[in-house]
Amino acid sequence: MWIKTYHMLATYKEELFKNLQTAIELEHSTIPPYLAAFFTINQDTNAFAWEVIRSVVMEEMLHMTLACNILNAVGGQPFIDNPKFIPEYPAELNFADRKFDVGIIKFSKPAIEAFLEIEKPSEQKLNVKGEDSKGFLHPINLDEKTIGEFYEAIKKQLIYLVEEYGEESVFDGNLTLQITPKEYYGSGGEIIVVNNLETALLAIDVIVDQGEGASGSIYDSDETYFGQDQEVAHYYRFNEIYVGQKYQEGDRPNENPTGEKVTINWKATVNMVDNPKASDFAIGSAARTKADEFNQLYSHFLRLLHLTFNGQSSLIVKAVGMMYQMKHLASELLNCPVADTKGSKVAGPPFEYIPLDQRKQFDWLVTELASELEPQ
Amino acid sequence: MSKHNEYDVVIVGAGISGAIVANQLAEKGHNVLILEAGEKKDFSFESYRNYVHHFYNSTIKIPNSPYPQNANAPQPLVTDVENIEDGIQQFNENGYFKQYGPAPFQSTYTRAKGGTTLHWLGTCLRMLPSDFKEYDLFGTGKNWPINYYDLMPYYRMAEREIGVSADVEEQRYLGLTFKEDYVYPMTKIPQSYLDKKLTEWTKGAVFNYEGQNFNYNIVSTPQGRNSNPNPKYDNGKGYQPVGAVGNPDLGQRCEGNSACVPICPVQAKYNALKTLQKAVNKGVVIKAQCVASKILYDKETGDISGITYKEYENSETLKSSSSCAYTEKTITAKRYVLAAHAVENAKLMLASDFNNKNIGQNLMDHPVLLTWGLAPENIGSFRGPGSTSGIPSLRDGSFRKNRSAFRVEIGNWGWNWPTGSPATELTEGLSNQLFGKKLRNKLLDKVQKEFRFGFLIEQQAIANNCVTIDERYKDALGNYRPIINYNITDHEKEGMLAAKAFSKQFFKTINGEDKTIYNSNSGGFIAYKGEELWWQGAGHLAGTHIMGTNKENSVVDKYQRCHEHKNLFLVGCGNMPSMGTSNPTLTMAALSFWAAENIDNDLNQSKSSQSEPLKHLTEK
Repeated sequence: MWIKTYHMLATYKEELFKNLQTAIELEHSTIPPYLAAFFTINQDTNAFAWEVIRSVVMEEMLHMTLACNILNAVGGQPFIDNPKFIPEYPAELNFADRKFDVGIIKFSKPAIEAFLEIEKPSEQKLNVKGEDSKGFLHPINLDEKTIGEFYEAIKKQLIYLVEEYGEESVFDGNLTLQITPKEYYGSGGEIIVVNNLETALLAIDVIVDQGEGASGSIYDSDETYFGQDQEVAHYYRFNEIYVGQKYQEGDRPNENPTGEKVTINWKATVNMVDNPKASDFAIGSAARTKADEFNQLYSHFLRLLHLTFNGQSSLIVKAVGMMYQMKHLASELLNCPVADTKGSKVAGPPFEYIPLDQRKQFDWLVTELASELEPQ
Repeated sequence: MSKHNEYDVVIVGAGISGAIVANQLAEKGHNVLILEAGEKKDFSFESYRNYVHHFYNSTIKIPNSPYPQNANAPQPLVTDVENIEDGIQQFNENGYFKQYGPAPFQSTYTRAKGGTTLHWLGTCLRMLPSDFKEYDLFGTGKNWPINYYDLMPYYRMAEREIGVSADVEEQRYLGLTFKEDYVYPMTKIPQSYLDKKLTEWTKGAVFNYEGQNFNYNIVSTPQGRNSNPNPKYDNGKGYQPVGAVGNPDLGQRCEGNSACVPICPVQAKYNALKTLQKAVNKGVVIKAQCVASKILYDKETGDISGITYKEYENSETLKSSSSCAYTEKTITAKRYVLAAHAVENAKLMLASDFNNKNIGQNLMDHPVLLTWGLAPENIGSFRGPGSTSGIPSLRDGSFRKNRSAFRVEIGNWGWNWPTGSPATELTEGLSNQLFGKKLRNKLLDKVQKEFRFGFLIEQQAIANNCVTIDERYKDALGNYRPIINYNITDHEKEGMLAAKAFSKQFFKTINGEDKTIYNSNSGGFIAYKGEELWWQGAGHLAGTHIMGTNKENSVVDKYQRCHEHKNLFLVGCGNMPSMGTSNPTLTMAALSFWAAENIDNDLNQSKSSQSEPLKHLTEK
């Protein structure tokens, strides 16, 4: 009997692993578009928007880390360094009730419109369409309406499995794989070590609340969970940029903000080409050289993250160093005029995947990665 | 004047000392007002970003470059100091100070909310136990009326408030002791690659001077910048780093922006705005654009009856001396605290006809002898905080009878301070017809090997180094400009000679190239016993109203209270009778905690109308 049960748990877990891997990829997929908007505005001419996007993109990194912690806690394995990990931009995001493109485009109204679509809250806490009480009738694959509903389904799966098989057999992952709150990251919330159902559900709540707001509110739950300052959730913060006005105490989720007006300078942006690709730029041009270098850097970076989430958690410090390099390289790209546009537009970071066997040695590579590239 | 005081305590100055005293007293339920001479500024991050912006736009990146000059509350600038002509130091009339020399006073401070912590480096060294009794031990300098052990609990409070990152085990040297099981709030800031290479290259070597050997131990410096919280701190309760004011998620770790001086863009480095914001949240009122001009006191009892200040409307930069619109007002309270800065405190008391002869005397700084050179290989200059390590072995020893002690600060930003590198290296490359890749390689090759020493020379308190006032020298609001008389003694010059010898031996030991060349016209240049020396100011202004045992030898008692004015307390580096070789901010902060405790006790005692003495100090 228990053999059958164990077999069933393993099957269910496979499904759970897939969903959590999707969660990691989903969280990651938002980062390049947010970074593109972030890199193309200036901290001083668009101070408010700059800070909103900075804090949101940092929180997406937290969400990706939390998803990895959950997956590791249930005995799964995050795959970060593979060709499908970075979507090809513009990427179509498919929710049950809407499809939209998300791209690597400069800070603009269309960019913020797409961001609003990504972070859109669920209208009500609902029964997810086509799902049984265990949440397992079909793989999730973002057939839900919102990211919140997607995570709601994962929560149900976790609760169901713990009820059926007990907490210990569900959360049987190696604790040393967890990234801990010792690793500061610079925005709202905190890294949560996931080792049981309670912490897994908490981690999911943090992800959902920071994006959509705690149920029925424009605020996330950082204040409740971490004793931090009250923070407006991502969707609403993007809306503040969109309408040029801040929310204030008492404002409601389905109404526009009524607080202090903020200046958004839509024109003060770097005129980056939409969805830059390295191959768009002439071989030998500065734009091409730097775009290639950026893609190499980003792919090496994913490798480093993969190692970080698969047992070498202390490497995260080096990953942070690489993020600074990325920012620097992106700003160099944004200073390279593109020949086809007669100099009216500049290049930008392409975020394209380079397969492991085509990666180059660079003197900035961290030792751990460099040794992987040595001929075996 | 109304008998009813709206405030229990009025504090002059919203720098680190004023902020700590205000925050501590508000915590105890007292009503506190701070008068601040600088501009009205809110606690938003945008407001702080304006400083960063001002820094970007400044052509000369001096310490005060992010903080605009304000004619209503002018501040000294390092660029005020003139060159030496025909062997004589020149003094101009352009700056805020009126200087009579004979040596140039090259240190500055900031008159704005947050004070000089806006541009400090963040070094948080405790003073050595021997520094508190220098006269007893070496027959030079002055003793303190309290000792290191008295100050220990207040050092811990200061280290919490500032948020100091250090490894306590590395700090136990030259008699420094810590409470059992004590750890700093955060783990040490990683030492730079330069620090590590110098450690490797000097292994086993010693500096021999006048028959004595000193080790080259390179020790990480305790710093007021955020690092990883130490989980063992506070009996295992840990510590939460404090981020930027107005953007608390930002700056919870040092990001290596390498701009600590003049401004940390993310506020990972402590500044007093952090403490001020806490104080304001507890009800402390800050009245900015209010420059205290006179302290009123009863000639019989000495008791302070009010502080007169000038409230100005705008903060335009005005060169003229007559066109600032202001209103003169007087404020009263039960207790008064001067926290306006060593020079400003002294100036204010002199302007108020206080008759203690020690006011303004004993002005101190750390003259910093700079030397520089090239390491034998690339050491990755211009990365990380300005300095992450020092060499403490010459901070103490019997030699202090004959010459000044010094601390060796290892600079991470190449020759930036002494020569203006890398900008000057670029200019030089261009003038040698270099461009493109050749220029880049040449720059990289040289700049990455650059490093410098700063020798912080201990300076003793002497009466002739002083701040005075003169009717002829006033600012736009009609307040006095400080008049500075300043010189370097032979005791200090002997210390500089030892420092120069140290530098020469050090470069030999590591097979580096000593590139120290002084410009004999540059302010601070001297030739002494056949050796060329060049020193700069450290911004460590201290000692203008020192503490001591009586009114003949000091201005305040060990409780930080004026001998002759029982309801007036002074805080700040002005109270320090000596600084040893420690950057003084941490000690000043500790003394401010001590002062706040005494003011609180004093207020409570007057409430219950008992006249018990203030709490006695002891800790072992």
